[in-house]
Formats: sequence, C-alpha cells, structure tokens
Amino acid sequence: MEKKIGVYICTGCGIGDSLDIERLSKVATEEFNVPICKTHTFLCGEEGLRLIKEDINKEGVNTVLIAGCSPRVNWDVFNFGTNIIVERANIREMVVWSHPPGEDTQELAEDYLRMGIARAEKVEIPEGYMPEEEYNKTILVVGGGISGMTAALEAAKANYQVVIVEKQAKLGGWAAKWAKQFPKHPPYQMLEDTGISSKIKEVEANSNIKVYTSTTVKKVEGQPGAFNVILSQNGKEEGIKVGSIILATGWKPYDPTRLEHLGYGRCSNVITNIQMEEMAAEGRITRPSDGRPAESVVFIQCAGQRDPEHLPYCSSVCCLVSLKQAMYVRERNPNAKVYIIYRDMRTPGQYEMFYKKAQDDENIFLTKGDIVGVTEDGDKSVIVEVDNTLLGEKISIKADLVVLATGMVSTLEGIPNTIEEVYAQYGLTGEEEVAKIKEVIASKPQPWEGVLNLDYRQGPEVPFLQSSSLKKLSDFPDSNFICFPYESRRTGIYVAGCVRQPMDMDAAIKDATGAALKAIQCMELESRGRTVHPRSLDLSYPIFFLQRCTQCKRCTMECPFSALEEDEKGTPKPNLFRCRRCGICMGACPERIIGFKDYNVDIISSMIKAINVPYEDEEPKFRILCFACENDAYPALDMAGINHLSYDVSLRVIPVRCLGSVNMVFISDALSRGIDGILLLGCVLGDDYQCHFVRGSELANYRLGKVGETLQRLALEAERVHMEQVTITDYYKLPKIINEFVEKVKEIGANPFKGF
Amino acid sequence: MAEILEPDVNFIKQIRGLGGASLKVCYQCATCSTVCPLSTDDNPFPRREMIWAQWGLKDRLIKDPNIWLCHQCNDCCKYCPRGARPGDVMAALRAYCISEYAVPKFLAKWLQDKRYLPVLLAIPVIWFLFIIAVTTGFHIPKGEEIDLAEFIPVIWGVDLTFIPLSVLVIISFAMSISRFWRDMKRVNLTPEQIAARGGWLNIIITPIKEILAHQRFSKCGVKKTRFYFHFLILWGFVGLAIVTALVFFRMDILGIHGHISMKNPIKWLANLAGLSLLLGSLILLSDRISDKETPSTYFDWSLVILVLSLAVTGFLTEFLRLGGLAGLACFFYFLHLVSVFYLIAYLPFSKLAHLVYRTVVMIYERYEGGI
Repeated sequence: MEKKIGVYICTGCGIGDSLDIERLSKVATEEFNVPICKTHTFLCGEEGLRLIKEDINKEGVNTVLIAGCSPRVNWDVFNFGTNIIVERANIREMVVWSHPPGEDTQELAEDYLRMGIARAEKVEIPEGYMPEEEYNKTILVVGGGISGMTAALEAAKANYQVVIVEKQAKLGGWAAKWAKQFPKHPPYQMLEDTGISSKIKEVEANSNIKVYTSTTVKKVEGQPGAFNVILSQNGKEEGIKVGSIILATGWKPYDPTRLEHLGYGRCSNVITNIQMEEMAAEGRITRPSDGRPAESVVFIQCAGQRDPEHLPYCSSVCCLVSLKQAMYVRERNPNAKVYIIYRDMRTPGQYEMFYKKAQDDENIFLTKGDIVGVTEDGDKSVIVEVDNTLLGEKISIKADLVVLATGMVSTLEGIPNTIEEVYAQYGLTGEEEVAKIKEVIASKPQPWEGVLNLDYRQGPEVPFLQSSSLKKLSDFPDSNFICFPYESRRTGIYVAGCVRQPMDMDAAIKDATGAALKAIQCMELESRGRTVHPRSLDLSYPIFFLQRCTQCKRCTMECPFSALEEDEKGTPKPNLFRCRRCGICMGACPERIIGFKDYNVDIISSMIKAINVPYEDEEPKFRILCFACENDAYPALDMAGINHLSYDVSLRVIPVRCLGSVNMVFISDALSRGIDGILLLGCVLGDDYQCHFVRGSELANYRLGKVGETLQRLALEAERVHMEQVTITDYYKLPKIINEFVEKVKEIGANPFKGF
Repeated sequence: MAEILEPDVNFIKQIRGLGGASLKVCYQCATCSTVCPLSTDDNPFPRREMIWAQWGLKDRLIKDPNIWLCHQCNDCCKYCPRGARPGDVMAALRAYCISEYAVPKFLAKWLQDKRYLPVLLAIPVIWFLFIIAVTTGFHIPKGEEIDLAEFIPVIWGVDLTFIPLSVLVIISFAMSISRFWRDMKRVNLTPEQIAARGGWLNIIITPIKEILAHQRFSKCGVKKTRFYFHFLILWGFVGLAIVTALVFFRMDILGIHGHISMKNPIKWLANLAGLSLLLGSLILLSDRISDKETPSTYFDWSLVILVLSLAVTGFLTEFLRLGGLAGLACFFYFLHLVSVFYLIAYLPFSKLAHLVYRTVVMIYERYEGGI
C-alpha cells in the first residue's frame, strides 16, 4: 500500500498555548516531507474530524497521525474505518500537561512528533489471523462435579455443544456424597439439600451435552478451535475435536495418614470430615470402634492446614463444614455434646448467620485453642487436650468421636506440571537430542495419570504458580487470580472450581459460569481472527521469518502460553490460536525475526532513531528513553500528566505491549545513538506478580541482567539502563522515580557516543 | 493432663431462662472487657465469664466474685457487636447464684417461678387473716382518730410476726453466706495481713460506706438513671428501718401507744423515707418499661412491683387513716403488712438478696485485694 501521511496537530487543551505550533509543523513538513500537515484548535470536534475526513476522501490520505491527546483517549473518535491507519503522538498528557512551556518542552513535543511519523511510516494494517479449517466451537468440560456440570449447562444454554468427561461412573462429584449443604438462602440458618440430583438430571436431559462417564483424557494436542482430544473409556480410546476446554476436576482430600499427631490412625475413633459426611449420608453418627452412637464429638479445625508442615493455606470451607456436621450430630441426638476447637472461625459473608445459629445451640461448645494431645482411653474414647483456650486455661475433653477438619488439595497436585518434571519421570535431563527424547517417551507407558495430558512444548498440565526462581509456590494453577480468574496460562483452557482454589459450592457455581463465558469468548473472538484476553479484539499476530531462525529455542521456552512447539531441529512451530500477542517472543529473539505488522523491531528502532539527540552544545542536553508497558506504566504516566505532575523533560516514552517484548537490540541501538539512559517501566514481578502476560516483566528483568556485558563492550556504565516496577495507581510516584534516575544518569555524565 | 471438662447443659438452660437468653452467641471478641470498668489485664471480665457460661461451667461461676461486683451499667450490652448482652447474662448468673446458695433451696425456686406466686402470697394472707380473726375479729376502728391497732394488734401483727421472721431470715442468710464465702475465698489471710488492711472493721466498714455513697454507680456510662433510683430506694429503706427501730423503742420500751403525731420528727422522717421509696420505685418502673432491650424476667419484675406496692400501700394507708376512711385504711394496711411480710420473709431468695451478696463480695474484695 502506497502511504500518504497526513499530520494533524491539535492546539486545544492548552497545547497551542505552550508550544510553537509553526515550528512543530516544520518538523513534519521539512524534516519528514510529509505532504499534509494541518493544525486545528479542536480536532476531536465535528469540524476537526471533517477536516481529516476531507483529506482522506479528496487528498487520498490513508495514514493519519494525530498529534494531541494520549492514544488511550478518543480512540473511538479518531476512527476512520479499517483501511485508514491512525497513529497518535501524545503531546498533551506527556508534554504540555506535565512540563512548563519553554525550549525543552518544545523539543520534547518535536521528538514525539518525529517518533509518531517514524512509526506511521512503518506500520501496516493487521488483517487478523483466520483459521485454515473451520474453527471448532465445541466445549470440552473435564470433570462432572458441581463446577463441571454448571459450566456445561451454562454453555449449553447459550447453545454451544458440550462434552463432559467424568472419571467416575456417575456424575455429581463430591457434592453427590454430601448429606446436606450449609445454608444458601435467608435467614441462612437451616441446612439445605445439595440439589445435585436435579442438576444431574438437567445435564442428562440436555441435548447439547454429551456425557462420557468412567472416562479420562488421554491426550490433548492442537490449539483452541482445533483441539484433538483422545478420550479413554474403560480402556477404549476415542478421538474427539473441540474448540475450548474447561478444567473442572475439583479437589481431593488431604492425606489424613499424615495427621498421626492428631490421632488419625492411632485412635480408632478419630475420623476425617469426609468420613463424617459419609456416615451422616448413611443416616448414622457412630463410633467406628464399637458402632455405638456418639454422645460427644470433638471437631478439630485446620487439621493439617495453615501449617508449613502440611497445607500452608486455608481451605475456606472447613469451618462451615464442621458447623454443618455439628448440626447433623445435634439433629440425631438431642443429648449429644459437640465441641469445636478452632484456630479462627472463618464464616464469611452471610454464613455468619449460620455460625450464630450453631453457636446458639446449648449443646455446641466452641473455643479457640491449640491441640496439644490426642490420646485413647480404656474404652476407646478419645481424650483431646487443648491449650491456649479462650477459657484461659488448658483443658481436656473426653469424646466418643473426633473429627479432623482436613482441607482441599487440587486434583493437579502430584502430577508432573513442567516439561522438566516430565523428563525427570523418564530419567531424562532435557539436554538430549529431540529425537532421543521422543523415542524414550514413546518407549514406555506414561508413569503417572495426568488430567489434561497436553501435548505442549512446556508441559502436560496448566502451569502452577511459580516464583521468579521457577520454584513451585502452590499446587493450584496460575491464573493471576486477582485480575483474571478462570484464566490459565494455556489459551482456550479455562479453570473453574476447587481445582484452582478451595471454595464452597456457591462459589464453584459462580466460577463455572465465569469459565463457560470465557471459553465462549475465546472461541468467538478467535474464529473472527481476533485475539483473546488481555489484548481482546487485537487483529495483529506474530509473523516468523523462519529462514533466519538459528533454533536457539528462546521463543519456545519463554512464551508464557506455550504457543510455540518445535520441530525435530528445534525450529518454532507457531500455534497462533494459543498466542496472546504479547510480543515476548519478539523480545526474546536474538535474530529479530519475529514481529507484528503494527509492532516490530523495525518500527521501534525507527522510533528510537527518530529522536533528535543534540550534541553540538557545550552543556550537553540529556536524552532518556523510556519503555513503558501499555497495561500499567503508560496509563500511570498519562495520569501523572492529567494531574499535572511534572517530571524531567529529557524523558521520551515509547509504549510497549509488555516489557517482555523489549528486545535487547533496542538498548544497544539507543545507546549507540547517544541516548544517555534507558528507563524500563513495567509491572510488578515476583510471587505476587501483576504482569498481564504472567512472565513479561520478569523476563525483561532477567534479560537486563544479561545486557550488562553488552554495555561493558561499549564501555558504558550498567547503571544507564534501569527497570522499575509500577502499578497503575503509582502515578504520583513517577516524578520521583524518573527524576532520581535522570539525576543518576547526569551524575554518570553524557553518553560519549553522542554525535558519532 | 488438664482437667476433663464436662459442660452442664442444664445450667446453661437455666441461665437462659433467667434472662441470659443471648449468652451462647458471644464470640469472645472482648469488646465487653474493653468497655467494662471492672476488667483488668489478667481478669478479662465479663468475657471470661461469658465463655464459662457458654461451656456450662457452673462451679466456677457461682463462686465467682466478679459477677457480684458488676453493677449492670450495661455498657457491655450497648457495645456488644453480637447482641450477646453480657450484662444481662451476669444478672442471670446472680439470680442463679442466689438460688444455688439459698437455704432452704425450694423457696428460691418458688421465687423464680411465677406459678408459685399464689402460694407465696397465700402464706402472709392466711397468717394475717388468722391473727385478725383470733384477736379483733375483723373489728373496724371508729371515731375521729382511727387507731389501726384496733384492727390488728401491733404485738401480734407486727412484733410477733416480724421479729421471729427476721431471725429466720438472718439464720438463712448466715447459712448461705458462710458457704458462699468458703467457696469464693481464694486466699487465707494471716492476722498480720488483716491488720495491714486496717483490721476487720475497716475491711467491712469501708465497702458499706462506698455502697451508701453509691460510688460505683456513678461510673456507669449507659445507665445514669440506675444511680438515681437505686440511691432513692436504698436510702428510703434505710430511713424506714430507722423509723421502725424508733417506733419499736417508743412502743415496746417506753410503752407509748397510738399513732405518732404528724408534727413528730419521726413522722417527718417516715414520710420522707416513704417518699424516697415511692419516687425511686416510680423511676425504676419507668426505666424498666422504657428499656425494650433488656429481656424482661419475672425475677426482676417481682422486685419492682414489690417495692412499688410497699410505698403505695403505705401511703394509701396513712392518707385513708387521716382522712377517716376506716374500712379502706384497714384494707390497705392489711395489704401493706402482706407486702412487708413478702419483702422480709423472702429476702434471701428474691432479687433483693443482692443487698447481702454484693456487700459480702465487696467486703471480700477488700479482704483479698486490700485497699
């Protein structure tokens, strides 16, 4: 496409008052020979827009550069159809609103215009990645418990075809084994039926849902819209094709044999809350030792939970379960006494009413306390010794039955999660030849029973939460659960219910509904050539110039979503429906062969080169380049401008999709051009990371650690390149962060490459 | 190994019935202890008493002096986030404690159960009807100056009724309190330690002075009115006790009979004390009616009504006598005597027993803790 660029400088919002607009126009018309450059006092108004549209229609302008407000605003106003490229130079928030008028501010505005024109010259219109064959829109739900059935029903009601795969012979999961559930309706005092049998009937009667029981998933390969799934039903294999997957395999109870200190296995009348529930469902509450009805029952809360030796977390439901089971005891035996020894009674929200109801029972006794001893009496009664009680003393309770409130463990626990763990299972290191690895893995049956068994480069299951040192932090799938619940690091695979976090049935139902919606969104967006969350609707996609690939495997290893498989030689094989367009592969590639039509190494490098680096002056003018993540850092900079917070005028900001997409070549390009310092502003990394692409800011941090060598080769100080972690609400801290960095660079001195 | 706890569920049920219905919902946040002027760092009152009550630990609670030191200012009830009303639970515990130590016990049970009210009232009614029948034969006095002794002879109706009754009451209290003191006592002081506390006289007199001055009531945050009515009623009773003693001295020692003239200072004191009692009981009544939050109990209401009826029947008798309405005066005099009988005979079993229990505990507080 032959480009005809039109530059439109808005002088409203104080821009015209601060800047010499004529001088600014000359940058476009004289430096870049842009054929059309116009100014207007109110570009986003009717008249201003008409001005642009007339040029598009009459002059044939097809690339519009608006110099004015931030690209984060008025993007819907400056939309001239899919065939017109629109670029923005942010001279409002980042120039006139954050810097006083003057020569330096004028130069800053001119640089933003230069960068904008450089970008406008290079970008192309992305056309969206369309599937080669028909995009499959069937949803596979793995797990037929409350979460799985809810997700299936919700999707089926939206008229999607659903396949449920359940490992057990019947649908229903744990909920089908419960006698009752705790109250869900006002006044939140009476136990309720689980309602699971009607849900099972509803699933079985729904013509959009196909149910496979006694079935497991043997293998999943492919990508969203084209997952090839091999199911195994009683040893019989069947292949199906699905578009997206909802993982709802739920939880398993914590192994009680590890709770010998609480009497389990040592005292015959110490049982778990699961065993209690089974007894109650059978209609009895008796001592396992002699079958006599239990007259006194002690519940020990947090059994093997919130304990670094066992489960470090709270399973969130056990307090309510014990209160519910206390009511089972009371309903069956009006004289029975129930004791609940808790660490903290956790009954969030309306469940407080249920707690109050249980408390009000004369025969239910509660105290906070630490269990110091569980021993067996001559008649097999259990003596529970409790210290630090609210009674202000150490007490002992004699009980017919002791119930341990054990917690929930994700069904993914204990299953190899990363590819390294898979190799270890086969006695491989991963250093072997690809062919050899494949041969060893094919030669023997899989030594573990997986859940999804993904045939993915980076591992067979949805990844667990990892710390920055790649140490596993939990056995729950990582989904940035604060910002994006239900998401996993495997596009098109959504996680719902207790497999991702302990929760009660109500929460699981909400979770499953959300996951069903996410699965539908994914399929509908991708089948239209657009990407999914968090760059929803984006039409661009990475293009690989594989002729120059050196098979270094960095992109396949670093992609947070395992979008890239490898052939025998190690060349990446993109699965673009798994891709989320973050550009981390673009940042990783040392050969710079990965890029998007509107975002690539050439575009960014051109923008860097467009910055005017003065060197004639005796007093050198500093130029600091800033790569700001579009998700948090760039909006924070905008907010600093909106709040008229001022910071050093030498800063030139280039927005990036993610800090992970910053290729180290940008650093050396900028420094060899005479840029004095480079500041990278990205999301928080670490255990409680906020990176929208999970590992982007962490990878940027890692890569910067390596860039020191390059700087040394150039005889430049490593301190010239610095990364800061900011959140969107940190905007007020930005002036300090920026000014301190600029001061440090000034102390080091001007870049000696200026002018070369 | 620590003691095996065996909660007394029956005790919990009784406390709930005595006005502590909300006790189980306490979740031990200790808001009550932070607002209670009695609470100290190592004595988290009433939080600890609340969980003892929830766990039915009767033995610890009945001998717990703290429940008596509480004057039920109800600051705890106001601030309790759970609506557990600790102040009312403490009141219920005191009621339980009275019945637990009562001698004989059945009378305490009767006093707490409104089904026995007819029996309790029948005893004085029958006694006085019997006395009137055998002495004057229901003679209604006539003439300008009505002498009620012509209706009920003082020697029978007053002296020979109330002196033996008082002796019985004192014996009953002595038996209850000695057991209560033994149960409550956690320390045994040496004579030197007692001397260091200023001797028994000081240990006993100081709390009584404090009670008469109502010093603790003035600490109340929520219920200021409690100070006024309690002050008026207590001093009303003190005044009437003095008048009774003087009249007894005048009649039985000096041998002067007949009604005392209105000009006599004894009469002034009697009327003043009676007014104090009337006013105090009216404030108490309005306080109880306006307080919609405190659970209403028979045990509490019976005392309110009794104090009011004492004052009302006393004044009505006086006015009707002076007004020359002999028949009506005799009727209310009869009711007045029944009320006084009810007051004195059932003192160790009614809510009024707190007069003795609280005083004893305040003495014990001084005994144990010194000044």
